[in-house]
Amino acid sequence: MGAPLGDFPQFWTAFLYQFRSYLRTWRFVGLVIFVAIIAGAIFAVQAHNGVATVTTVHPDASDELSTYLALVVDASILTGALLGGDALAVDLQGGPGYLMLTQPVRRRTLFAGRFAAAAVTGCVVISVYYLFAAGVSEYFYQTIPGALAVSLGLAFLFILATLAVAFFFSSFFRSPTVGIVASVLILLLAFPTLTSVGTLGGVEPWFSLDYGSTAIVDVLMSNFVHESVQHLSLGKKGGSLTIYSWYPYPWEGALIMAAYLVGFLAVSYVIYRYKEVKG
Amino acid sequence: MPALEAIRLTKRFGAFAALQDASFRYEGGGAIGYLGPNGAGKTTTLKLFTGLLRPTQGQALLDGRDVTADPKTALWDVGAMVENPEPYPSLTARETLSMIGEFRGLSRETIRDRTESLARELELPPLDQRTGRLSKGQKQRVVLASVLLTEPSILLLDEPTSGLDPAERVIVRNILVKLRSQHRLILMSSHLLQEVTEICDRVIFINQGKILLQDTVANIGQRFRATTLDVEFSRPPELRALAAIPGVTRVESATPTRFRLAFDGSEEQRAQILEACQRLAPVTSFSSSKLTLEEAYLALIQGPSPR
Repeated sequence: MGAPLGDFPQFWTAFLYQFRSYLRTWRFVGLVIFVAIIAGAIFAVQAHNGVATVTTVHPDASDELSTYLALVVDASILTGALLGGDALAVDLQGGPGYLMLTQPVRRRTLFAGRFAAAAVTGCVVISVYYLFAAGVSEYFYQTIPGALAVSLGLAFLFILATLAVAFFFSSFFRSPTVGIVASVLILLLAFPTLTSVGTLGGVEPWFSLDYGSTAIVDVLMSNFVHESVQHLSLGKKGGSLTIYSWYPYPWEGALIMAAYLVGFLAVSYVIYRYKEVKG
Repeated sequence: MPALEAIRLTKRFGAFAALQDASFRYEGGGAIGYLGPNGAGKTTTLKLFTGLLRPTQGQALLDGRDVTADPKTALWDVGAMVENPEPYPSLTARETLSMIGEFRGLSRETIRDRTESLARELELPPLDQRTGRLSKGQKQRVVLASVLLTEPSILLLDEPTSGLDPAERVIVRNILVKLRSQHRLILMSSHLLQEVTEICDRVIFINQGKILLQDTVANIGQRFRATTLDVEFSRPPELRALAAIPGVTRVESATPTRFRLAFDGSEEQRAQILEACQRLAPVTSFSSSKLTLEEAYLALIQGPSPR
């Protein structure tokens, strides 16, 4: 045999077959159906209320979409965790790993192929939500605001960040199921808790992925404010409570998500690269 | 010329030494049987040679290239089947073979032709069926096909016939014998001594992480030769007279007229023992057998040092 094939053709092969594999799983089909049901159900309820009601409540299409897309973060978390939570563990626990990791392919190539396939698959799932959103906007307002494209871009970035977090747990745990469950718990519970703790402590929670993800919806709000402070008087003794609320700028949200993407992806690659398959 | 070499290869898991100071070098075609009980260090060695594990000390070299330092180049001309590899369940057998072929730079035409050829040779299941729906033996044959697809010069096989039914074993055994004759270098671990005898021309014995012996099957046959002679008489001979026959080292009695005589010696000596038996009582039948690998295995793994 001649000289080894270059890394890029091998990356492309890893990507194509992994993507094909994802598209055939019930997980992918289930996620698409799940997202379509959520998006379709909200659309149906609003259509039932009538165009006049919807446009009265939200005269601006962008504001309506910011409400309509409220569940896109949760859908992205579920998608990222289910696609990424076992992407590496499946190799490290044996089985397919004994076939793939004994090939003359660098682990970084396999890793990149896996991530790219999961990313494209995740973006396909979330695009279904945005297709419905575009339909909603066209149906009620006969226009599609440009901010929807920015929101979609941020949603794609969030999918990549959730996948990076899920890849980290997938490289860390040997069991694919544990990888998925840990990813769901951290993304759905731990990060929102981190955001709440920061807010209650009067600190802008720029360190939380959950906080960064709110930019996906905030970018659509016409009355966007970065920071709001509320002072509440408590009882007759003169006590008071100050509540801070922060909303990330789009660039800030993108930066937070990009930082999580790069950080978690780098750590999960290092673990995957050096982990031994002990069996 | 294909070559594989272990240089003081050692793997420790904490305080446990799974492999200690293993050294061997094989070059050119041939099949090497890697024999030892469960937990001896066979799979650990193969994992070190495929980059699934990193050595604590020493080197695993394939065609002179260090597997740990540059696994891609070292494994380029190597086909490996370690532990229980499985294809992706959502891919078909054909897609699995295409993926492996594309990873190794084969053209689509070559992949298609070899896939069809291997499908016939290995009696693969329908190629367009998803592998998740295949039986364990069928999956194993698909994986073996992926190993053979690129016609590698070096094959690293971990108990390649375990999990196969008798007919499947014959198919795989015949393929391995053919590969050996094509000057491929095969390192295969196995528990099946008969299989190793049929396929391999050289053997490594390993136990508790240490290599005990490595030699050709022929030399091991000489070294551990234990020839026995089963003799049946028409009437019971005198036991003491049997034991006194020159060259006989042990006498076992199955029935009053049937005996097993062990001796260390040549064909000529066997003839002399039979003549001596005839003088004691009429011999109605006799048969002899040679135990080579089994005798060596038992002596090395379980028993005393070779006679």
